[in-house]
Amino acid sequence: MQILVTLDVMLAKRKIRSKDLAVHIGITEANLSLLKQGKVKGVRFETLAKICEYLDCQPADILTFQRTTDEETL
Amino acid sequence: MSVGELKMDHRDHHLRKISIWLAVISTVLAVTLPIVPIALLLGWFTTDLLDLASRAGLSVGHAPNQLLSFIAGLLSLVPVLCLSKALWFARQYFLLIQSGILLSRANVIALKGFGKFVAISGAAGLVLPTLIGLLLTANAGAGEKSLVVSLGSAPLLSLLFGGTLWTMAAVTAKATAIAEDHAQII
Repeated sequence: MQILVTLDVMLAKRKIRSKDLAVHIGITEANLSLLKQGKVKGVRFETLAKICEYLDCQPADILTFQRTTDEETL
Repeated sequence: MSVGELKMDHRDHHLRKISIWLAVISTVLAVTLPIVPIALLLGWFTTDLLDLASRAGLSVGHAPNQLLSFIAGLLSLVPVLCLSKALWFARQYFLLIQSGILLSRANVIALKGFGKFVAISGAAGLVLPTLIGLLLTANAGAGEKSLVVSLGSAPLLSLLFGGTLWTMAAVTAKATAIAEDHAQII
């Protein structure tokens, strides 16, 4: 996947538990775990805003674009 | 339960209510519909076949072959048995709606089965009278063979209704896939 989710890094930096973040966003811990692993098809702006608000960061701090070469995509 | 199954909320209470009634009606009809034709068929098997043929409007000089009559009798059950099976699928569909599952693969399978068997019942209603007529007069002498052509609005409407249900099932399958995709957006 070209978009890397670095939410776990941000959580570690802020020393915040996944459980607390899940409660704040209003999603289940299982869904938050899927999000951290990048196993979701998308993130709603609403969810992203809540994460950024709670972690006091920018979307770019938790999402990173990684360019893949043609060989990798094949 | 698959990912993305669309479930209903408290506002869909009336839909649950209607669905449970439709499920009950489907169950009752699925069970009772085949009873009358099967009872009639059992009666026919114990009736004089020559008398039966004359009552059916077939000008047969002698009694139809016993085996062919038996096959014809069984064939005559096909439309009603297919309709019964279709109603059983309808029951499954309404029970899923009643339990709050609106979009799932089980809904698609039930709706597709409903449509398929309604269409088969309609097609059988068009073809079988001709086939049964031919079977019953297969051993009749020259000039006594009958060709029955039955073209009523009921089987044609069944075919159309079955096709409509089949299309709705295909649309539901697409909607289920979209719902599954949507569920993966957090």
